[in-house]
Amino acid sequence: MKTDVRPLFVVLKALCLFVLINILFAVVNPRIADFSTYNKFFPGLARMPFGDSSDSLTVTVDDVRAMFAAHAISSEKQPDELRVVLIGDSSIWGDGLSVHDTLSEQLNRLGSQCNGKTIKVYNLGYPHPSILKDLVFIDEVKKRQPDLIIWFMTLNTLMNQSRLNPFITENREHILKLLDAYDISFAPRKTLSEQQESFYQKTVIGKRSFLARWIKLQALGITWSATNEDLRVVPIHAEAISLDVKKDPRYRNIPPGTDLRTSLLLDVLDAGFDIAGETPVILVNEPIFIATGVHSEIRYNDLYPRWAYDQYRAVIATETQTSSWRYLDLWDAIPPKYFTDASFHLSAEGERLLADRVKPTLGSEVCQ
Amino acid sequence: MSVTQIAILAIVAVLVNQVKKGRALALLGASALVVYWLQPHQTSANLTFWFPTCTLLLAFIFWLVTSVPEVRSWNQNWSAVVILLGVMILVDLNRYLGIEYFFIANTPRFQFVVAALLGIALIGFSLARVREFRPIMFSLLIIGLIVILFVIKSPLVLTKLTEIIADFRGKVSVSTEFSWLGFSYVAFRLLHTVIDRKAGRLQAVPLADFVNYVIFFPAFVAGPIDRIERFAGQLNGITALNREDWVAAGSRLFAGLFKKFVIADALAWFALSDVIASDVHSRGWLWTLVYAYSLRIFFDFSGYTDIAIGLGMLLGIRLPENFSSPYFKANLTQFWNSWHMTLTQWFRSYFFNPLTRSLRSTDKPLPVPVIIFITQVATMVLIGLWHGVTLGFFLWGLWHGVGLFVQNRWSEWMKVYEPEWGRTGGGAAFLKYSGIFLTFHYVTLGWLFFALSDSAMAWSILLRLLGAS
Repeated sequence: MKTDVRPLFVVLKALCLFVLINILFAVVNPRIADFSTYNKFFPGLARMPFGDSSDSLTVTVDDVRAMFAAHAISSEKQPDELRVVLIGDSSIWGDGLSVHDTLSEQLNRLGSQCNGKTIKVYNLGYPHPSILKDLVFIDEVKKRQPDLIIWFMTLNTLMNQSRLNPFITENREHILKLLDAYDISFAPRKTLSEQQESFYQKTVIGKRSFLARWIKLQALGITWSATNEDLRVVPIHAEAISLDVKKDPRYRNIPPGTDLRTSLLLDVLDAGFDIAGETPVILVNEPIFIATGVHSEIRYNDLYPRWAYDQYRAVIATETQTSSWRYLDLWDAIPPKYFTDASFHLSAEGERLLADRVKPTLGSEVCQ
Repeated sequence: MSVTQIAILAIVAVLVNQVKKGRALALLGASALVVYWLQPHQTSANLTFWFPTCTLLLAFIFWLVTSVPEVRSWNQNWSAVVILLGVMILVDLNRYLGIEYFFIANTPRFQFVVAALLGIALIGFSLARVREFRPIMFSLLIIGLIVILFVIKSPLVLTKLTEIIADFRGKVSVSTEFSWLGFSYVAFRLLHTVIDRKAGRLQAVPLADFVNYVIFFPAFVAGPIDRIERFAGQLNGITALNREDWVAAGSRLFAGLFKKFVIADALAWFALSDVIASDVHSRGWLWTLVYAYSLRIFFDFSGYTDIAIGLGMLLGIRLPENFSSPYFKANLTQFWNSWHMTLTQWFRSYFFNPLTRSLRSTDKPLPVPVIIFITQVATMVLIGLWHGVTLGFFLWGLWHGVGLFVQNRWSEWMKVYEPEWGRTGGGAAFLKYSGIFLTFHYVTLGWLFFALSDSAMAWSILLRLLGAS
């Protein structure tokens, strides 16, 4: 077959077009993250997108705007709706749980009304233990008219980080803005501010990972709509928990007796309350697994030695008292058998117990 | 295969095409290395090495048995033997070369490989001395190959086998996840040669051409299944690529990459699967996911075929087509003449036609419809089981066998009773498009048994889709 096509020219033209598209993309810098098929073609997600990258049915998108755009919290607020948002880490997101068994859904099932309005609880937990992430979430959620913010935290989330991670770098500008505005002493701040987005990183090639994840997130709306399941959950088996803990008294290699106060990002709590403004915020110290077996006199669990966790609780108690923050210390509210692993992930029954503990406060705060 | 692997294979193909002298040998070396390179990692007993090695050794033994003395001389084939041995030894020694990260890891100890190769050499010398094999030898090879295929494709047998081996070795059974890459296709190519040899119609080719045919790297993973005389003819007539070849190969390769890695992989995000099947809450969504699966399997498989054909073109070899717009066919027979065409042609040549002939040539032949039913169902069930010896694949084959029979009877009936309005104009168009619609949906519903490992679940979803439950 004779052809007039010259292969080298085809390759050259394709290359030029490719370069041109990349340059145009970088110059225009379209705000793709703000667009979502969710809340338009598909119902909004009941929790933030998160999952193993090798699993074809889940996806992690670190850009906070894309995450919120896909979430049900971005749907239009109904006139008869009171919005309560739960902010926290993987235990609030519901690690190992179906979307229907998470704390927010348990609270929704318990059902609450207030002055003829329905209290709708939204899961804004995310499996990334960082109070800074919570601050970004509070800043984002403020645009979605919440009526109450319940902010779950634990020692691990409050600790200052020494390194950056994909969430921090993906939301670099947002985080830097908050760090500057509230003068937060975030340890790797200098490194973060030096990480200017290069021209290359603004191109299609530079953003290929984000774009691929974002496209997959949009397509997964079909599965979400068809099944009402956001991802395949690998259950954590409760019988695997041991009531014994390791002997090591250190916390993250920090020896006992160290003053942790300087390592806690307490100014983020200040900033969070400040951003929330008129919206009431309840700070909750989330339940932890309390071991009762061998070496339990040294540690509460594999994550926390007693000295560190007791010190953290004391600091928070003082801080909340002096700042007049509403605070709920539920650290020992859930018996060990309701934990799915030896730290802070709860079973569906555990989440229901927690919902029972949270619900009275929720009603009293929103209905004021 | 990943995009990177395909890109590397494309470069290899172009380089082999550039070789002026000894192109068949260069291709042999490249294909043999690719067989090892693409083999997925196996957890048990150095199988990552032994599976590809067995592929090469099987090809060697089948060549010895199916070839004629005229092409079996040492002078004619020593270079191919050296290349095959060289690749096997090189791969086994890669632990000493420090390239395990790039190539296969956990190769067996060198002395084991040498012992195995000596054993094969002994068998080879014995076989090479035979001038003419008795038909029983061919039958034994056919049966042996089918038994291996059955074991490899049968999860139940594999589980039992690994338990027995683990018991024998006093260990806990580790894995039944065996994956002998490309063996389904290798087996059918070898069966083709031995059946044709038995029938006295096999073209005699030297070792390099024979092994090249069996393990030709563009078609090694997902076909198509060529015929040896066609392949060998092309192999010996390779010329340097001209402008038209570059355009055709490039277009085909990129079409395949787009189909597989963009369309099929995106459809996989929401196509029906074991994981989500039980959670779908409405019939409308269920249809959406089933359609997605139907399209996904087409784009995935035909994408791979395009890639194989494109790579073949870069080498200068034109592989046979495997798909021809199958979802636009007006009946099931046409669908099977355009879906995985080389497999159906294989079955037609070596199973369907011989079976039909033998059923018709008995003293008391069965009625024609009964013969058609038996041959259609048996052929399709075997095609199903070729994908895996499971209930799901059996039912998928049965579904298509029954469908082909019904369609055959309908076509026969229509020849006599087709209304006048259906022969021309709008009436003919109506029959054609309704045929396309029905065929597509019949095929799509059949995919349920293919997509879901639980056949009971597949059946209940089928009923749900049809509004019967």
